Amino acid sequence: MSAAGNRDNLIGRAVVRREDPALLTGRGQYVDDVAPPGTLHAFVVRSPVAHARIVSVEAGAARQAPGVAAVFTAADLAGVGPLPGGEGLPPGSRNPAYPVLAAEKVLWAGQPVALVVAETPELAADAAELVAVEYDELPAVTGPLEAAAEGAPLLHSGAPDNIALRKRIVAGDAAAAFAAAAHRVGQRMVSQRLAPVALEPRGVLAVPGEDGRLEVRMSTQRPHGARIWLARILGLPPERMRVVAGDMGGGFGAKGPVYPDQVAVIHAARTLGRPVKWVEERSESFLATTHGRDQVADLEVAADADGRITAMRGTVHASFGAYFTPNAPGSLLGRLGPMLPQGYRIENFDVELVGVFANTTPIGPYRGAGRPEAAYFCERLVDLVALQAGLDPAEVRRRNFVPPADFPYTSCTGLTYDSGDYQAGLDLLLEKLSAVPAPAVPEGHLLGTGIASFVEPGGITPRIPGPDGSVGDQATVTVSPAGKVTVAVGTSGHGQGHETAFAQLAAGLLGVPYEDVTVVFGDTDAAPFGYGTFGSRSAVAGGSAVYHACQAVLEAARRVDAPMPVAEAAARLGGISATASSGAPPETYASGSYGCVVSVDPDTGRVSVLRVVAVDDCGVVINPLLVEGQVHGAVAQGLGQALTEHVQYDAAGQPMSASLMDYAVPLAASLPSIESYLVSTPSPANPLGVKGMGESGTIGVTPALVNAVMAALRPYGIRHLDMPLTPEKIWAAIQQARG
Amino acid sequence: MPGSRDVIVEVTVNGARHTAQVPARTLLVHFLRDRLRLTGTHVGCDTTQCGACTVALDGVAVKSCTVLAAQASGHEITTIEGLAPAAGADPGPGAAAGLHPIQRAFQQAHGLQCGYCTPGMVMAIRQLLSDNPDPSEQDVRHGLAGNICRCTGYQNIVAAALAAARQLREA
Amino acid sequence: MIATMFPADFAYARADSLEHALCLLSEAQADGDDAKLLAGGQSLLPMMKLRLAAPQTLIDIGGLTELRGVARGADGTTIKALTTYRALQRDPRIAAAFPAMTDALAVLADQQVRARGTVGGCVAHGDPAADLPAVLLALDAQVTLTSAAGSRTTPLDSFLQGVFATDLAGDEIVTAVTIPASPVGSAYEKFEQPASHLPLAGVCAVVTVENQVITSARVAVTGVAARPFRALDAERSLVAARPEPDSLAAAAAAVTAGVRPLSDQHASGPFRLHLARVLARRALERAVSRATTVRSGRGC
Repeated sequence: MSAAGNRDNLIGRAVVRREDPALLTGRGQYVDDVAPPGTLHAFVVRSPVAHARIVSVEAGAARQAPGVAAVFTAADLAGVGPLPGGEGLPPGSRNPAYPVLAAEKVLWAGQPVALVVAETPELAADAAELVAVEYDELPAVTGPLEAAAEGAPLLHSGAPDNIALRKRIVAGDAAAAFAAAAHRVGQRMVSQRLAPVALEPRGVLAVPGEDGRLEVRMSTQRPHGARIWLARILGLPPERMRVVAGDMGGGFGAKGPVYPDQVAVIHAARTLGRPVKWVEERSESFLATTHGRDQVADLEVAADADGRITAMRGTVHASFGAYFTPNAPGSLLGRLGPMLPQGYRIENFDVELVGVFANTTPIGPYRGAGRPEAAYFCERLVDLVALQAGLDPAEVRRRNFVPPADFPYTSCTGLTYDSGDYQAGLDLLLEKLSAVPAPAVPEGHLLGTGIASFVEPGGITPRIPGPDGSVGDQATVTVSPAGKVTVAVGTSGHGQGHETAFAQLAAGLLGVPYEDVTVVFGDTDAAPFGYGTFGSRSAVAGGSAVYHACQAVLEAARRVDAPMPVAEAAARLGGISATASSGAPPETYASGSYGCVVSVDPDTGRVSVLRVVAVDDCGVVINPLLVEGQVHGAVAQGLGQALTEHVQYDAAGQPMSASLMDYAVPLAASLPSIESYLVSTPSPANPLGVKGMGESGTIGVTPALVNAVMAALRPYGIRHLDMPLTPEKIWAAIQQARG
Repeated sequence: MPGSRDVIVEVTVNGARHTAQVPARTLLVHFLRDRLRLTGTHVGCDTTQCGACTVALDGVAVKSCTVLAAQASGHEITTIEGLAPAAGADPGPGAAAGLHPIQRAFQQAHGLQCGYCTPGMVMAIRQLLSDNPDPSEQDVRHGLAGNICRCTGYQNIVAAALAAARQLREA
Repeated sequence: MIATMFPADFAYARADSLEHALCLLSEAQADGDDAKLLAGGQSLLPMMKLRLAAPQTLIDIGGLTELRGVARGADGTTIKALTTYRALQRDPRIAAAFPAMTDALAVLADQQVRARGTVGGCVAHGDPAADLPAVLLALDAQVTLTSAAGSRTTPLDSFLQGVFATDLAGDEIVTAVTIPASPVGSAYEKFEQPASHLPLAGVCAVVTVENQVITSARVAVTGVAARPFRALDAERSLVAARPEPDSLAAAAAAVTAGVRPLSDQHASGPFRLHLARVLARRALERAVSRATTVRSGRGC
């Protein structure tokens, strides 16, 4: 079989996943499935209040309780921590130290205060009830605007106004453009706080080895990053630690950071010399695992008489919760702000980003991480421009798109879009939407169709050098003398199907049978350095690394005197192995246009999602089955934000949605069958032509859905409602409109 | 005080009999996972919503996080590990051997991503198809009210259920 | 309070007969134990896991086959307490006689919970937002309670007292629910809280239509107030009315008269009241349609 022929056959083929048989038969190995003999179990004592001074922590009774091995409080953790703060902060930012266990103050309901370690999880939970913490409660503040307001309760002494960071992005002359504009359209819009809800909660199992080495199994998207962070926090050399992700029950961004509870558990295992395991409970997860979104945008666009958008300006307030997590600032500064112009030629721009601390669970990346918010804000404004100018929303988009001839295109915010044909995607969407007649709905129900177009930056490579001093994800491709291929890669999939996709890629590139390729990742001992899997980066960065390593193997094989298949060359040479780095491939800019058809029951305010049509352009597709799977899942999450999901707090900062009985994720019956289509403009920015696309569904569908509901509500003159579009909110708006 | 804090649990799990003494408060899911080391049954929530812990109790799908091990004593349990008749054969890259038709349909339809909800989904769909061998798409969607998936948008889970139903009807 | 998925420790006793269960209950009472009966456990175990309930003793009555099954007799249909939702859902006699119950069972929790949850457990739990109590209230159900001293029967309407509060004495077991026979049309409508599946409002309507006139009507509402309640004003307005849209709408508008609604982050009081009125109209329309279909069906 020729290499080229095999490549054509494998890359782009809908190969069913090799991951599946083990997972389908209960043979997965998630953190909680691993239980070395003698494992102790931890329970985290968390603050029940949102903001308080800690008067005292009394753990004596808990230490005496049946089966308890130890109780750790802040006093027992000298020299451990703090956690890493925010990364990539602009000058003047505040970056308060994030303690492992709270010592002086607690800043959110759920902050870890003590760790109980016992022989069984039940006994640890029992003893946790005996840890007596006295709190001197303080007023709390939870919303981004409220936290930034004068007189708000203050969280950190180093941030006397709760302001964590400010950054103003300016291009052109927005004031002049607004002065000259035919249309000015502004709106306050909220992207509400969400919980990621990976179905497997976070967990960690720390096993001290006889050789003094620490093996840490944890549900993490970034095994190498976790190892570096943990080593620094614990004061250990990284090589004394191995991090293994194993099978993972989803992440969606929230399993990127390392968390204080995990650090405390690992410290306990080191101190006690025994394996210690902790697995988060679901209700606990709503308090302890990072949330996403939580921004309020006051934005305005200017347009000429033809609906051409000339400028955007305003302010976005973003909450970071009680403390920074490393990547949270990047979601605001690198994604949300700079992506506000989306795929439109907007030349004048003046937007201030204001990050604040509040008495809530820390914010982290959640599927999309700034991208969905940017697209939501922009696409709502584009629809409002269409409304005001009396134009068709698709026509307004058409008039503003960056045309194909302008790529590579540098946005006014300084990003370079690699390639795209936004009009082609929108045209296909419109064709598919109109191909089906409007669905029949009960009498009196309101029908609405909404669209949204978006651009998704993907494949970011952090500019943080790996252990060898170079930047990039690595891949090692080894061909044994028997012709079997092992691909070890530094990205770290957790449900996306990387074992299958990278095996297709390597088999295609090397011209070997797919069955002969084994893929390894998620283990710092077995896989070379990489930044892990987040931000739609693995096909771009991991894929590029695999590509370069395969090229190096082919190069080595060509050194054999006669041309021959790589397996034969490996047999001659006693095996071939090559490691290559992705370097830092430029980011890719996937794009798409999504449409939703909804009906609204005006008597109850209930929205029914009748159709979701998704058109995605992610360049070259390695496996369409996996791409469409990503679209489906992301669409569900995006619809969840639009319709039901909302992390809420009461005035005292008490969580009101901290269980799956109160926080409504989409269920099968709440979703339609998603119609997914692909178009392709390959990326010139990497050797495979791929573009990251793991988050596109959450980016495109949320504004499309809200635009559809607003179209349905147009007879009532309702211009904008904030998400989630709950029945009560819609009913109340209709009541108000009816007078 | 009547009763005891420890109980003897005698159950048949996937055809094998087990007897163990456990604290009375032990949930069936923890008994299966921690005592019997059948870790295919997962825990995804603490409020009986997510369905990741679904097993069959005397042939009927239940949430094993909301059943005491003591309540299951004297009964028969089937977990995901016991679903396929012969799980020994090494599955190749294509349609895998050693899979129940529902499991095979999940692989063919890409009905799983992270796989964490999957054992519970498969056990729930087994019940659904046993009660209604020829369901519509809406029947399947409504029938899965007790199972949460955060990865797939349910689309290919529903497709897998419908495909499995077809295959089981024809079998 | 520590939220955890592990119930606090308790002592467990499995009853092997009703008599044994009553004996265990008396014994626990005599010892001053906080004892709870465990039927299917679908309401109690979740509360125990969250440590919202921490009984010292659990008396498991789940194995008592004598408390399972549906029987029809002179005084109506008797559903024994340990009959599961699943068993009811699959009983063709229930579907034929009480379509509202089948409506409710189809949207009650999920198939796994329905496989374990029992009618008696539901009634004894006193949840203000359960589906089935609305149906049972509208069907005029009687609750049979048994203690070592004997049995008593009380209308469900007087048995339900408030949020998780009922007229169940410490030494009593709910042993059956009886629905009187009546040739009626019935329907249940629900607007659910999307995460919990519990009704933000649920309305059951039961009507008899004779010669184009409503001769009896009962309407019950759940999820809206501290306990499921009968909408007596609405019922009165229906009797002797013609089963037409105007009279049904007027009755529906009256279901919330004088009601003090629950209010939480999932739905405000006014919205719950509004939903109850909307659902009442829909339930009445379907109940009337079923009542008239039944009658014309008999004519054939």
